[in-house]
Amino acid sequence: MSVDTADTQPALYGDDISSAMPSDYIALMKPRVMRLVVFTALCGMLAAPGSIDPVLSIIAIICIAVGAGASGALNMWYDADIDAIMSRTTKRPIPAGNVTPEEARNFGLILSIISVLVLGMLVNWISAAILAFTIFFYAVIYTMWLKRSTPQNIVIGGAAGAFPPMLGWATVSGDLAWGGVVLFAIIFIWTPPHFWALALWKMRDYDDAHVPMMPNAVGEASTRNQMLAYSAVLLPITILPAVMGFAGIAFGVVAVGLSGYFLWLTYKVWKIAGADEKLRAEKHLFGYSIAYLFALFAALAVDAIVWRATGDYILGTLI
Amino acid sequence: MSVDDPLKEDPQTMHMPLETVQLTERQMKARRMRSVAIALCLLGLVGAFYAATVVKFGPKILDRPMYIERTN
Repeated sequence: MSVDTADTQPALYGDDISSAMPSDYIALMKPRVMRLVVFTALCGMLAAPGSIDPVLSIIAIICIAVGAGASGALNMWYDADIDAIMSRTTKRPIPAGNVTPEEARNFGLILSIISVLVLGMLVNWISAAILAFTIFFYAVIYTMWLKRSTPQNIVIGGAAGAFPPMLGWATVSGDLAWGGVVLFAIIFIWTPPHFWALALWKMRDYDDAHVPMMPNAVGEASTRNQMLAYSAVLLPITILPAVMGFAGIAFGVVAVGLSGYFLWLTYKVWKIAGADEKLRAEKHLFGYSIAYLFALFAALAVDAIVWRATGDYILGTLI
Repeated sequence: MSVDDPLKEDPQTMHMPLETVQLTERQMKARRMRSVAIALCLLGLVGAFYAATVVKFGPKILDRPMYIERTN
């Protein structure tokens, strides 16, 4: 049936039709966080006993990455209001007007379902269950509940970022063993000093957005004390892989060095106590904390690769 | 008793001009790119299931007759 164009009205312009590019949707997934998630999950896979077909391992890594991206999209959907206020986040896709909150929410939900189902069907259902719980924990427990209601938000919510190495471990071993729990603990204890260094640096932004980060809620002094405590606890935890036998002595030495410097930088933050207006110690600690985690898990991965190649760790194990 | 024919055009609306929406150049480009991205993702998903099936069942799964001859 043809339409006589003389009977049509002048065309309307669809202001509410999306002009979002694929790059906007990729930005929703927080690619920098995804990189860290993928990396720590890969290290967990390498450190776990047993083996998995390379094709399945690639599929597992992609599913974990997509699941992490889904969590990021759901976080950006829910936090669109405070993202618009904080200088660090105003250029995100939703505050920038490139993607609507509803589009972000639906994108996150669909990716969550697909990543969990594909991981379960093609790899194993234990890792799929951990992935599903991780997404739920980050999107619901941390983003919707803890972040805006308690200064312990990062402490508890940090568990979401700590699950990936446990997830990687479970994809290979098919179970939840103490090795995966130790890798979880490393990231769990690392998270508070990492995020509180940022919070000290961006206190005003979090204040404007009414997010109860530790420095805003209990003060800088208490925050610095807690950062020092967490950093002190982190050091012995990072040598547990060598003590427990799923990493070699070389890893233990590297872990002591990296964690010792982390503790030293945290001590400087505690000692200077904000006397430097430019907060250089806090910025330095925050920057180092990111490199620290990459370096620590890279050392674990190298150790595991040597073990898989030679049947022995670098310099052997302590037990 | 009259029965409304759903295929019969309503005299009150049949001569009303159609509303159309004109997409801008940017909107059309964005929609095209999103469609390509979705197509690539779907291809990747198909590929993943294919590869995983071969891995899990072994390469013998590829060595199957196209048809089975009936013996009776």
